[in-house]
Amino acid sequence: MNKTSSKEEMEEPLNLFENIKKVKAPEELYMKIESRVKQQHVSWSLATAVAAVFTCLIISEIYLIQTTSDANKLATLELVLPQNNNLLYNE
Amino acid sequence: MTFEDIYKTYKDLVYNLSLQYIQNIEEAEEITQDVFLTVYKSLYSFRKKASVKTWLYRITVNKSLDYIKAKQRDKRRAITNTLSSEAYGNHIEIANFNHPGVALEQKEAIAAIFATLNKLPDQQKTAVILLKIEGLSQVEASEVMKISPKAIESLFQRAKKNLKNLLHKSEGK
Repeated sequence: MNKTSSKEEMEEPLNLFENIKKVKAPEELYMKIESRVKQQHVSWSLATAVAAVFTCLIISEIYLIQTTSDANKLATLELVLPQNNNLLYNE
Repeated sequence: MTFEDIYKTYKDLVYNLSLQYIQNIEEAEEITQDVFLTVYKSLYSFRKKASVKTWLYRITVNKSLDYIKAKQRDKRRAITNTLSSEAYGNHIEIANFNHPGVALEQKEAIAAIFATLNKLPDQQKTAVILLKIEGLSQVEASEVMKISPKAIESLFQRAKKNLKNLLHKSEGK
């Protein structure tokens, strides 16, 4: 008996929740969501464009390094290797 | 099902469920927007293991709980210099209780129960909201929360017990 009354006692405030009515979502909500979706699209496109430009820059940089490195190799070697002006070697 | 179809079918469900968590019109709108933005982004990766309705319930529950946590973090940060987080408590004060589904004559009573409900752990709070306010069956609620119906029942019973204790404490003050 005591148990039942204690259960009812607790159920009563919880039963108040059953009086909560369902409401309609505001009409303007879809517009707000749509504009946020569009914003995301813009930022996504911008990010893609920036990434593409960045990738192009890196690729062109690598290409430039590769093509110029062969030409530079000789010049670098000349700089690194000691120059010998001793005429006796030519005898 | 297209995004527009999903929005038209479930907008009220998402809005009402977020209202049960946050009890504020503006914030519920914000959560609803976040939910549908997530739906838009992940619609193509949705594997249909669960129904669209269950999927939306899950997203809304998670977004609402995340929103509450972020709000708590901001509030704690703001009051760190004046109060300890212990003194602040682990819940949101409903100073801005603004639930359009609550009749004016019951506003005070329901706001008080919501204030107590907000002090419960996330899982217990979700069990009460899904079973008692949303009116889901134990099986439906267990699918949303990805736990067994038995676990839902046990969560609900613990929530009732904790609510009772907290209500007694607040009455005693």
